[in-house]
Amino acid sequence: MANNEIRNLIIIITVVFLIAPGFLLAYVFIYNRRKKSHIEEKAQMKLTFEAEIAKTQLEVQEQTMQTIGADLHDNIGQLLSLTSLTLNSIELEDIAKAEQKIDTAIDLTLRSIKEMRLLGKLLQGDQLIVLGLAEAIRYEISWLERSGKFVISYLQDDELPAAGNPDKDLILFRIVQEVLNNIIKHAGGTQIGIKLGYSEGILQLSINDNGVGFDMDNLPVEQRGMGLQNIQKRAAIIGGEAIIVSNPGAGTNVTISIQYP
Amino acid sequence: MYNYFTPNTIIEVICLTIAVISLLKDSSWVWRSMILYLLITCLTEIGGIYVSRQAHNNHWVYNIFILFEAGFTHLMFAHLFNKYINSKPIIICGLALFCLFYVYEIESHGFFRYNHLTYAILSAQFVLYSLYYYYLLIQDHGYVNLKQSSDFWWVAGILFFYFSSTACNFFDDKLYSVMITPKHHLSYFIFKGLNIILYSCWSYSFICRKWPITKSEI
Repeated sequence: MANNEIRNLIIIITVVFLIAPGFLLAYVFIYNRRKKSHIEEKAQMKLTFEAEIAKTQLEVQEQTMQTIGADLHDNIGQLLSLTSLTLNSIELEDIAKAEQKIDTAIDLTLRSIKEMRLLGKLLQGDQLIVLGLAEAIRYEISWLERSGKFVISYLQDDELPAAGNPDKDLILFRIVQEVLNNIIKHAGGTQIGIKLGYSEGILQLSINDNGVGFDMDNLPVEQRGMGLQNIQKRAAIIGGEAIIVSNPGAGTNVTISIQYP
Repeated sequence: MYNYFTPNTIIEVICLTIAVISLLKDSSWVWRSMILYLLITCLTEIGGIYVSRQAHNNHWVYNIFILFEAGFTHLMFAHLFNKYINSKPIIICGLALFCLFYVYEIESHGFFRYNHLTYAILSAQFVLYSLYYYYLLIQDHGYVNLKQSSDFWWVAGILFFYFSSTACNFFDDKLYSVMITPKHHLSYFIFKGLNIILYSCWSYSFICRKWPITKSEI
């Protein structure tokens, strides 16, 4: 090989070998920039998630306070008024009647105490979640049943994992509260079915009612935006999916599926 | 005295000066050791020029220098790898391979001829180390601002220099016949250019190393 050829060959190879690391460094730079935006996106998602959790906690507390307010007014308040009336109406001259009225007052007081104890438990609000999602739902149902307006069936899978996920539990519990609120306010039904199932790492929560239902396609925008989108958004935040099926006159079925725990 | 001012010695002395300014108070002794290495590099370069004028053969000077080159560069790579993995197995294997070839070449042709094969093997090792470093950097979940990463630019200098000198290492035996000027052959000019790239990257790396310290002091 002539000297000129060797010279040209070496110069070309050197230039090529000089460009190659340049491309490699450019690739590392681009990859690193993508890594940065990925990290920023993850941080943003974490912030959104935390904000949603905080908001949900606040809503659960608000709901609890509303329930307590209503119960104090409708139930305990009535019991205590009745107790007061009973005690006021006691005539000491008629001992037998007075004894009967005192017994009634004692009974009313005991019922008030019992109600107060239940309220005390409810006052713990979102702490109910510490007991687990299934327990929190059961507690919510027991309050609703006391109104006497609904027949509620609750089916719970025995396979539910012992160690839950507090964040997911909180969001799911809030969804249950929202769906139950919708049933109470809008559905006008008498029967509610709640099912909590678990299979192969997927938790499925299903709530149905026999209310008036609605036409999914012709729902007014203001109604669509309130409850239903909230349910779907919350389910998505915990990596799940909410399917809402409803037809006029045929009730509504809300099913949420998420990876659990 | 004028003859000692070649592009190589000038860029090396500039890099040494920047290293002294930037790394003298550095928290890491490995980074501080770069000052010593660059001082040895400058002395070798000047010594090489002196010996070539006196005895015409200065290969033995660079045969000594290659020991420092291998030692300090391996030390630095060990320091960089330690951030991600246990570097001991790789570095010890690399040094063992280098020693094997070094002893073999000294045995085969003596101390007064340059150890080209050892240098080629060492270059290949450094290229592989650099690529592995970038792989670890990409794999790592954390984000590093590469524009101001001293580690990144130090490795960039190594990769540019040793990868681009591959052609010279390959055609080493033929290069002596390719003269560009009556005094200098082609590899002299190629290494001059690569030295400028290497020491520019290193100088910038040392400045980046100093930068966060200066910033926090303000």
